[in-house]
Amino acid sequence: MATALTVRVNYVDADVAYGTTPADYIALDLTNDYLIWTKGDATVKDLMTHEPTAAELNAAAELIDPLLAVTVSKCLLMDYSHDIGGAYYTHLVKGMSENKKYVFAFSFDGATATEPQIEAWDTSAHLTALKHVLGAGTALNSMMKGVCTTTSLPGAGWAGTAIAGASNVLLLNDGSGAIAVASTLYANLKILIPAAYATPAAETFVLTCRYTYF
Amino acid sequence: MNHQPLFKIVFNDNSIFEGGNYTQTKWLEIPQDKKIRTLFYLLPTGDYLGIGGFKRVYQYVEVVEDLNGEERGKKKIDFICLIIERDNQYIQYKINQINIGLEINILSKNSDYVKKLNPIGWR
Repeated sequence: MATALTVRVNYVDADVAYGTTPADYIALDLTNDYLIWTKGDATVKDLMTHEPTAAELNAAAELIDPLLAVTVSKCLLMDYSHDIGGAYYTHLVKGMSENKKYVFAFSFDGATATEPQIEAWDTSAHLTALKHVLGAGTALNSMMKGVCTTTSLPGAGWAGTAIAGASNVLLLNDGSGAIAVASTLYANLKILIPAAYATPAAETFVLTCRYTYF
Repeated sequence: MNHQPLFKIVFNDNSIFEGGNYTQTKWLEIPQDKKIRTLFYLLPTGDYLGIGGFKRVYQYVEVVEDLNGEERGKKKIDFICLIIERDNQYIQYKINQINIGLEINILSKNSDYVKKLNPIGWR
């Protein structure tokens, strides 16, 4: 059968692997759940009891700083089924942007033919990466940063790879190629807004996992 | 519903092996004790691409799965890749399943991309 992917986020302790402490992870229902990148406020936060509205998300947006680059403070998992640990719709992704290894987990239930990778695109057509958050056409300027943490910690203040389009992708097996057996690969992701960025925007973009099977 | 086998292989002894479908290709079930003479691979048009005269051949299905956006959670086949090894080079055939088409690339013998393929896929 085709190799299948399960994406999980750590919502308890980003120092423990899925293999040792699966209870610390929530599997994304990719059809209904999604990730929210936000500064957060008294309304948009960990353990919300309703799905945040667009107005609430806009009010809780990260602000551009005139002098310093700003890392978007929080990544929340929007859990549509709201059935983890109580009737909560949101869960804070632990360790996002920090020097943590076990944050975003990508589990494959079998071998792959090539190395799995994370990509970022404007839309699900996977044709363009022109939005501001993706570098406005210059992939190296993408604010979406990622680092593979499958084999090691990312390091304090990690810079990561700018992810955008087909040329700037995040390899999930540290560049070592295909995975031979069922495995969980890890990454840390963040959005870094440049200082004094001229164009404020509320943008959606598409994070994609590309992988292969025999 | 397309019931054509994904591929057909003719061995040097004239025996034939038929592949499965996009979900279960049966690629790894191809007997390894026989030399392949010709591979016929299904194109999105319903025709078959015939390839022969190679030392060995590799196949994989490449999928994309969005974590967010309108089509999140849909596992979409982007393309099927065939790689054949000849004496001095590799030739890659990318059969695009979304934007129907066939792309052919010549890869060097020292291709890092080829070196990092999972070796169990060669036939």
